[in-house]
Amino acid sequence: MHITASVFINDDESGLHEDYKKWLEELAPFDASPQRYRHNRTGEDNADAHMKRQVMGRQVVVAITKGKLDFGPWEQIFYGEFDGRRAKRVLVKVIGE
Amino acid sequence: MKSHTEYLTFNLPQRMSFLNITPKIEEIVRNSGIQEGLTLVNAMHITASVFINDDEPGLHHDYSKWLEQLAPFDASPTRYHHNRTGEDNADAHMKRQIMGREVVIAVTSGKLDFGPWEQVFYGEFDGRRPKRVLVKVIGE
Repeated sequence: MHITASVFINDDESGLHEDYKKWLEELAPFDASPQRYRHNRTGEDNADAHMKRQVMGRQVVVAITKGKLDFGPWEQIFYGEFDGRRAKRVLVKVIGE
Repeated sequence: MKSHTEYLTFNLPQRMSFLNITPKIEEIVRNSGIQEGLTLVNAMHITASVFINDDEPGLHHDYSKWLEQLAPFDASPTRYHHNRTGEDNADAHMKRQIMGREVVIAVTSGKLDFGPWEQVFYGEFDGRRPKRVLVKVIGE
């Protein structure tokens, strides 16, 4: 529910998570100064987090079949935090019969 | 509320390629009999994508080149930690994040309610093996 965080589906493999961090930092480096990102002229320092979240996505939609999440063999759901150290919420809505 | 689920399997011969799966999704929506609702189409594998964009081969070539720049294939364990597990597809896990896992398409009057150029693609980033796509249609 916050615009500097993601929910995404991928592999539960710690090496891959390290790779994501390094890669996202290359694509959208943290830089609190107001020179690189206009957003940080507002007094915020998290413009990079708004970009990282766009790369990783906001939401996932997962099918429910016979009462269970209908996953492929390696799918796992992750919360991706790009501007943490404060409380943030995730919404989960289940619809159907 | 009705629901209808089908699974598609693709085995693309290249490591990276794009396939227009719109006719298959349209057929599944017809099979469902649902007139008003939503269709979920998602890759069930984490090195593949389902996305909506233009059916134009030049653009697909551009996507391949651009994705290769953003997340180059590199089987060595030096660039990507993930490849220390013996896998060689860390780049594919990144390409898939950029292109997305799933699409949700409105069903209106029994048809996929697309804009003028919207087409559904399966994006493969670690191919040469069978992979599945889930299609679920819900509504009335």
